[in-house]
Amino acid sequence: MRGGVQVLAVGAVLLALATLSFGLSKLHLGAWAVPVALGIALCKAVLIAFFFMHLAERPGGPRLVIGTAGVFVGILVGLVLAEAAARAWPTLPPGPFPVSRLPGTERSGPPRAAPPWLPLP
Amino acid sequence: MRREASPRPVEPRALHFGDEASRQDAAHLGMWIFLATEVLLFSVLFTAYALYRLTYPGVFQQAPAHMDVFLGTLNTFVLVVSSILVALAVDAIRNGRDFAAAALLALSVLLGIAFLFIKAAEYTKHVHDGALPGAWYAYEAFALPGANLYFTLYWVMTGVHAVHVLVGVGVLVTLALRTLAGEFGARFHTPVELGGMYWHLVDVIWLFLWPLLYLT
Repeated sequence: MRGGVQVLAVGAVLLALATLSFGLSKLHLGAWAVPVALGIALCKAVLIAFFFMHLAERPGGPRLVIGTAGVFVGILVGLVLAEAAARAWPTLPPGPFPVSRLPGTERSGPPRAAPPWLPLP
Repeated sequence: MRREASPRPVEPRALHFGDEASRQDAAHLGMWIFLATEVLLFSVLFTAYALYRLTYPGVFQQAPAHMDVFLGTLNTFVLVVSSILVALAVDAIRNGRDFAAAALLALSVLLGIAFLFIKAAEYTKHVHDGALPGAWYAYEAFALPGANLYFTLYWVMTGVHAVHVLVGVGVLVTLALRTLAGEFGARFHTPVELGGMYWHLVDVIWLFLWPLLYLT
């Protein structure tokens, strides 16, 4: 039964963290909102991996595999973001130029060529 | 007719698979490698999200106002509770309580189906709004450059995740039935552990999707 108590304790922490995520979203943390939310999600993921997915009782291979996957995700997201953030902003879509439509796809509707640095209505 | 719960009748043909512990090690390692490929599948979608959020920060910040945050949050709690039930099921089968394990697995199946129904209710609302992916986007209330990208990512990310939930429900149903049939017990229950790990991964993916799409 010791395992059952542990599962329930970890589960209670997970539910508490989910409630914390939801509560913090009401506070509108601005630039910190995404890092804080992702940090809490990462804590939940680590708890689930170690206690529900048996990583705590399996050192070695499984930890190496999922740890490497995590590092690779970091490299992928990090390099893509670093490259995109280093671009001059007019080169980012839609750019300071009208978005041209593919032939045959003209249609009525709201204009979609407003540059992203204009304040949003 | 109930079969005796016992280790599989595996004839050891190689020394490194000679005992049940080595077979379990191999099975878990294989499952983790599979889960790592799943992580990489979703990481591509998260990368696309990151790139477009960097490009249209204001639009992505406004987007949760057009989402049903209550239903999304409800789904988070549904999935976390179902994960807890699966973890309890593994604990039950390890202690030889196979009927309790099957019942807990069946309960998590019900929660998985509830998740899909709640998601379908959300999708229905988005279709009604015209918040469709790609070129079909026609949501007048949120007609800004980049808004269609947010909803395209929303449909693809939650759609791929929903397919995983559907597969996970199938896995859990199979495990519950096989547990009821007496195939698993205290001595052999590796498939229950591995199937449970898949369900937990589906839960973990949602725990990252939820704050990005509904909260921030």
